[in-house]
Amino acid sequence: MDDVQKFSELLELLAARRINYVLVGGVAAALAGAPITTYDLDLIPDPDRSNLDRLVSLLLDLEASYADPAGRHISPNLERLQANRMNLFRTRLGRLDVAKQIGRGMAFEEAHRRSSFVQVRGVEVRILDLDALIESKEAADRPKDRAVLPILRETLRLSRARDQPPKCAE
Amino acid sequence: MIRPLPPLPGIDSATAPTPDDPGYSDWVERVGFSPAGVDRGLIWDHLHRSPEERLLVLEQHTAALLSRGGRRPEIL
Repeated sequence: MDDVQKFSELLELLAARRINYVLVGGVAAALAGAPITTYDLDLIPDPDRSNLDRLVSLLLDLEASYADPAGRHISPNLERLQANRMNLFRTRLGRLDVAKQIGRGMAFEEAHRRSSFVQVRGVEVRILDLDALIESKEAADRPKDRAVLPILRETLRLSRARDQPPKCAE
Repeated sequence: MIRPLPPLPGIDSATAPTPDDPGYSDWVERVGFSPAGVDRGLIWDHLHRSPEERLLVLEQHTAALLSRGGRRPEIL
């Protein structure tokens, strides 16, 4: 299961199952324009009970199992999603990480407020804004976060410069 | 056909040095890379792709790395 990563198919399935979430992490950064790569899809789901029920149902259909360091097969369920800050899954479409919060306690409500939509293969995907992504990486402060931060910061600078209206010559 | 891109922000293509000028390489290093050594041209190119194209590039690179059994580096 670890030799595939079907980001598009995962995003299409999340939309088809009407799962409300904010995409965070490397895929969100790449969709925002950062030339980075990643091996997993990271998201913060809306903690609403019915939304989490739909997410658990999808995870079970994807044969999801916790990426358990002890090698045990542990299936997702509602209680585990609600209890754990981070749920790392292996699925038949690749790695899928479900977070309750990221960085310095950024949960769904704040992530939702600091996000915007992008259109991918006919699917509207809500992604965390780059400045919020940078904040979450700064807070996580692991070697892999520090490695990617200069790229994210430069992407933010250049995307703001691109979006500025051109200056008119007098 | 390589896609044409606008100049990087702050660069005037009318007055920019060309590869025939002796200081061209130094100039490229100075304006083409951030102080942290990030290739600004690579980002600029990516920013002029659609989100769908960006996802395709990501999937292609991830698939290539996974097919070689690699999990690092995570930077294109």
